[in-house]
Order: sequence, then structure tokens, then C-alpha cells
Amino acid sequence: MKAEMETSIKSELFRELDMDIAKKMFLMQTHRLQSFSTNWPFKNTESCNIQSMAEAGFYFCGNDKENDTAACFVCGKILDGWESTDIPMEEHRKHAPQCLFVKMGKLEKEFSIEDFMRIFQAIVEDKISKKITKHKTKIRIDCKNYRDKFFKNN
Amino acid sequence: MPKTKVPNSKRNRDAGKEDKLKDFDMQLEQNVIAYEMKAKQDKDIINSMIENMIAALPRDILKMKLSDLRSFSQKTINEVKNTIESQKDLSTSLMLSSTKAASKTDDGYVTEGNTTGNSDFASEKTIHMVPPSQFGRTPRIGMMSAKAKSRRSRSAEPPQGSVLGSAMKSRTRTTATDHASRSKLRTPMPAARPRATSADNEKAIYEPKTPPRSPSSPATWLRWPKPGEKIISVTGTPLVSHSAPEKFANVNIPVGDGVLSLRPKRMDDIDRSIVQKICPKTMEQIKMLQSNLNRIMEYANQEG
Repeated sequence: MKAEMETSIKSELFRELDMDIAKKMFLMQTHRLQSFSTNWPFKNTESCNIQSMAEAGFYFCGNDKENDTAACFVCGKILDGWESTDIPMEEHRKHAPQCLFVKMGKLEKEFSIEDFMRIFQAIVEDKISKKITKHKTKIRIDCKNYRDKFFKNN
Repeated sequence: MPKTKVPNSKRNRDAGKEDKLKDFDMQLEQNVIAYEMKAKQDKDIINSMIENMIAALPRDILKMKLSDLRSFSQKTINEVKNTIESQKDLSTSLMLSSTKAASKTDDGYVTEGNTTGNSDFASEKTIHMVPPSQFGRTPRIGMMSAKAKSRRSRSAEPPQGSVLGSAMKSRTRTTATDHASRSKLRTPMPAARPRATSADNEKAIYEPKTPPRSPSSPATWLRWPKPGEKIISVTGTPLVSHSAPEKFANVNIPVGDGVLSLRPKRMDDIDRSIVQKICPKTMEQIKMLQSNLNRIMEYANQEG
């Protein structure tokens, strides 16, 4: 009985965790759509609207000053300087042809579970690679600072 | 005692510093490379974990659209998996019921044969996998367990009908060579043990474990000599031989469970069942023997 309860609590926790991760990753179109603030420069009637941005895999990553900056949730490509006539999917293909989402060339409703899993895999891989590069640069910078400081005094 | 003064110039100091800096840079590079390798390994591990996750899902689920998955009332993937499997079972059972009766019985027969075959194989496998030292402790099913039990009881007592049986009982080490596999597995192998570091421990490892005995005396009762084998006693130990040469003409005929030895004495009566026990091959040999004996007797009569 106790074990059953434990497993149910665990599964509950994991489900919440999973949803949280999915949201953080902008895995679903709705998550991406929610990220766009109200001051996105283009109206819904224009071709570069938030709906098509989210469909093309972009989420908002700008701020009040740079209110037209968006990034791809798979490849992480950041694009700004959008124009009202831009077609988000076309721009994505032009700037990041290596992106798995672009290669699949499907809308979210056509995605199979396997497609989702592959996209998830690509995101995780990309995130880890970026983190490794970031860490490496940080190590180098920290060590250089220490080296300069230490050897100046001695 | 004075020595030549090395001027503590700025250049000298700088040279030492340069070396240190170079050393520092080198170590930094090495550490960065080591970090990168470790990180890549971890990345590969995570990647393979996701790959396994995908491989673990059945094809039906992988090909499903997200909207299809949402239509299931279940909350976890495992529940969906179970539902799909139960649906599949249902559809196959429906298919089976719609087929003809003849094919049905065929199916039943095949399944039964397969299952019994599998279970036999499984039980045999367990017996092979159980180390012999555990015989008798592990519960087993069917005929094979009975076999194993009989094997155990046989090896525990000295060979039947042995002249040396009583002598053997007093020996501490009684190992039968026809159960070589058992004794092999039981004997601890010193090579597999961790090496002792101190001299005392090493001594303990290589000390003989059996009570000392004369090297000329046999350690075990080995086996009966097979027909046609020569047996030689090296140190004069009494030998048991079933084919002792005798100093009178005789005929030995192998019968099913023994040997029929014909001696040059008049036989009163022959047990007829013995004739049935002689196999046809032996019968032919006896005929040949008889013709040979007859020929010898013919020549002997002619000479006489």
C-alpha cells in the first residue's frame, strides 16, 4: 500500500516536471505562442504574426527595447529585424537550413510522437553542447584572470 | 667560501616567470580537454538514454499523432501501451474465432507443442545453470530433478561391488572420476583468489589442504577396466580384473547383463532365457567361433 502511494506520488511529480520541462523548452506551439508579449510589432493580419511565428518554431526572447527578437526552440537561432511581409518559416529555412524542425517541414498537428521525441532529442543535445561551450569559455576566462592577477604580484 | 655571484637581473626573473606561465597554460589546456571529453561522454549517455526511450515505445504509439494520443483517456504512456496491447489481443482473438474449426485445432496443437517444448528447454537450462554444489538445495521440477538426485546419491557412496569398498570408506577424499565435472567445479581455484600481500598469508594459500599420503598409493578408486584395456599395477597393488586369463580353454560370450563363460566341464542344463539375451551380432560371432572350433576338431580328428 505504501509502495503504491509512493509510486503514484512519484509519477505525479514526474508528470508535473515533464510539463514544466516542455514549457521551458517551448516544445509545444502553445508554449511558444504564450511567450510573445503584447508589444510584438506586427498585427495578426500581417504575414509576420505571432501565430505563424510560433508555427515556424519561434519563441519570443527579446525585451521592451528589442521587441522583435525571436529564437528557434530547436536550433536556437536568434533572429531580429523582422519585416511585416516576412514569412517566418521561409526565414527560418533561409537562416538555419540545418535545423531539424526545418528539415521535417511539418506543422505541429502533423507531428507523430516519434517526431516529437526526435525534436526533444535534438533540443537536449543542442542545449548540452551550448552549455559545454559556455563552460569552456568561462573556465578559460576565469583562469586567464587568475593567471594575470597571480603572476603580476609574483 | 665565496662563490661567483649570479646577478639577480630582471631578465633572469622574467625567464622563471615565463616558464611558470607556460606550465600554467599547458595545465589549463590539458584540463580543458579533459573536461570536454568528460562532457561529451555524458552527452552521449544522455543521448543514448533518449534513444532507448524511443526504442522502448511500440511502433503504434510512435506513429500516432498527438491528437490521437490525447483521445485516450489514460494519463501515462504505460497505460496507453497496455490499452493498445489489450485491443490488439482482442482483435487477434476475434480473428481466431472467425477461422475454420480445423485450423483452430491445428493452432491449438502447435501452441501446445511449442509451450511444452519451451518448458522442457527451460527446465533443462535451469539445471545446466545451477552450479553442482547447489544440487539438492534448489527446488526443481519434473524428471530432470529426479535424475539429479540419483546422480548425487550415486556419487556419495563408493562404487558398487568394489573389492576396495571397505578400504575406501576410511579415506577422507573419495572422488569418482566419472563425476569429474562436479569435483572440478567444487575445487576452489587459487588463481582466482586475490593475491595475499604478506608472506604469512601466502604460505597459508599454498599449504596442502588434504592430509598427507603416500604418493604411490592411489588417491581414489578410479574405475573398472574396459574390455580390451590392459591394466598394469606399478607398485604391486592388487588389481581387479574381470577378464583374468585362465589356464584352460574357455569361451566367454557377452550376454545382455554379463558374460557367459563356458568352461571345459559338462553342462547339465542351460537356462533358455540366456539365449534370448544374446544380441544377433554376438550370435553371428558365436557361429563363426563354432565353425572355427569345428574346423580345429576336424584337423585334430584327421591327425589323430
